[in-house]
Amino acid sequence: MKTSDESEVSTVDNPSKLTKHELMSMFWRSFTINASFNYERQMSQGFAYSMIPALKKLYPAKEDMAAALTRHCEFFNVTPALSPLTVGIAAAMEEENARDETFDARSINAVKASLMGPLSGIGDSIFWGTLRPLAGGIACSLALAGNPIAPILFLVLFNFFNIGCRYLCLFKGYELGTSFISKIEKSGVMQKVFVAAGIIGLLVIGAMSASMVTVALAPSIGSGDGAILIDKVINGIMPKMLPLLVTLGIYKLLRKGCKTDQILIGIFVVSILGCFIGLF
Amino acid sequence: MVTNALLIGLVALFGFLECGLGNSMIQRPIVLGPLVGLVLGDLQTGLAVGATLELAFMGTQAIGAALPPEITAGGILGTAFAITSGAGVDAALALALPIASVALLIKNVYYIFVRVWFLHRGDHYAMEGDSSGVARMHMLSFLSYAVVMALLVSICFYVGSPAVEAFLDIIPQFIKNGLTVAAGILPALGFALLASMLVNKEIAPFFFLGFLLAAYLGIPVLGIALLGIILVLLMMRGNLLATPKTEVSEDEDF
Repeated sequence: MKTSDESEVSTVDNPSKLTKHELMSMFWRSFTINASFNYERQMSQGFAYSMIPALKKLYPAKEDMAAALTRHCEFFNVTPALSPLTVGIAAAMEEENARDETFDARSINAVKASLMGPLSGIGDSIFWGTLRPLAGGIACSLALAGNPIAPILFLVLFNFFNIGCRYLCLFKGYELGTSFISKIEKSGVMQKVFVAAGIIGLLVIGAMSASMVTVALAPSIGSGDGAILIDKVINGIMPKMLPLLVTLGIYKLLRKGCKTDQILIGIFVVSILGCFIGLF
Repeated sequence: MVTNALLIGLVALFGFLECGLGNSMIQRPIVLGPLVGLVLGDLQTGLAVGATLELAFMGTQAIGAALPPEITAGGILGTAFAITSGAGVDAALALALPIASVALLIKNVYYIFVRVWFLHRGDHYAMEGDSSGVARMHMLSFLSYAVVMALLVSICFYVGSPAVEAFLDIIPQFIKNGLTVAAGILPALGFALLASMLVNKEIAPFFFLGFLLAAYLGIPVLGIALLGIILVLLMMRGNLLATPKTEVSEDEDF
């Protein structure tokens, strides 16, 4: 695993074209995509780390590098085994962004956001829902019979698909991104595609706000068997209303210029105090 | 005893590096159970306990924001205590579950405070265009957690299971609950950040459409994205895709 970021030797003359060298380096780096997982932006740091070889090649100027790095610090979460697909596509888009001044850089994150939901849906069900229980089940039956080969078999079965999928995803993602961009550029529908990606991205973010944010209130009205849970009343008006209000509230705070650190501390204070007084 | 505690710590370190080694599943009980058995000199029990715990925890994986118990520490200590006490396979599960729940608490604290601190330090480096700074914060965030957890597992093994259980009771329940509540709310911050990057007046309603489809109809995120693709294709056909002026004002609101 590479941890240093020493300057790399370019093998071709064109400075704005990624080579197999950068892509391989991104492949290895994407092994750590889940390594700094946190509750605020999940895999964002791992994503940015995976993108660095491409960004270093494409953006020699400091301010371009800063903009690109900041771009990839946004929320990211895709089943790890499939995440290199997003890395590959984003690399192809960054390549285009470095070459074409009229390219709308925001579209890169729009495409990333619109891929998160579908890829995770597929990836979670294949890797966590099928492959791991399958490999685990086979290995467990061996282990219970006392066969010490069980853990090795488990790892080989799982990682054959895990690592193979990662490799294919990264290179296919890059190819796909490149051919897709040049195709739509020729047909002149670039701007429309970006609006489309933005729409799908927002649909997915809206859906994730409903399914991945949890806020539940504990208090009830009345007591004994006749008690009515306030949470039930609120969800009766509109399901997942509290997660929506919380997401919108935080959005407003961000627009008002609140720093993410302040919001973060606020979430904690409210959560712990809320539990103390019995609100949650 | 000290040697064993060190060895258990090393097994734990190996397991906690999993998230940086391609999510290769080396942290699963089926792998770490036999490994613990090996270092404690009882491979057969390690295999049996590892397989039992693996079957028990088979369904646990962070899907979305649902939090599974922390099985790395739970699996290692459950197996280790089962071997050292001689209580065997049945006792391992009873020991592993509470340990896994408390390890989850520590993990939450780390993911919420320490890793988010590293994340924000990384943001500063990103804004300065310093890619090695970003890389360093990512790696520190990853490795420091593995080291801290490995140390804790090692210490827990050294002090033994009764001492561990007694300590767990000291932490007030409202703090434990508060951290769980916060972990449920925090993704909202990520989504708000993401939305504020994509939103403009023309497409803002789609955020609410996505939300409503998930909230009322319970359509999974994949289904909503697929519906989105169809929606966009239909809009294209009807030439309804507004192409906004290149200068979209930044302070548009929902």
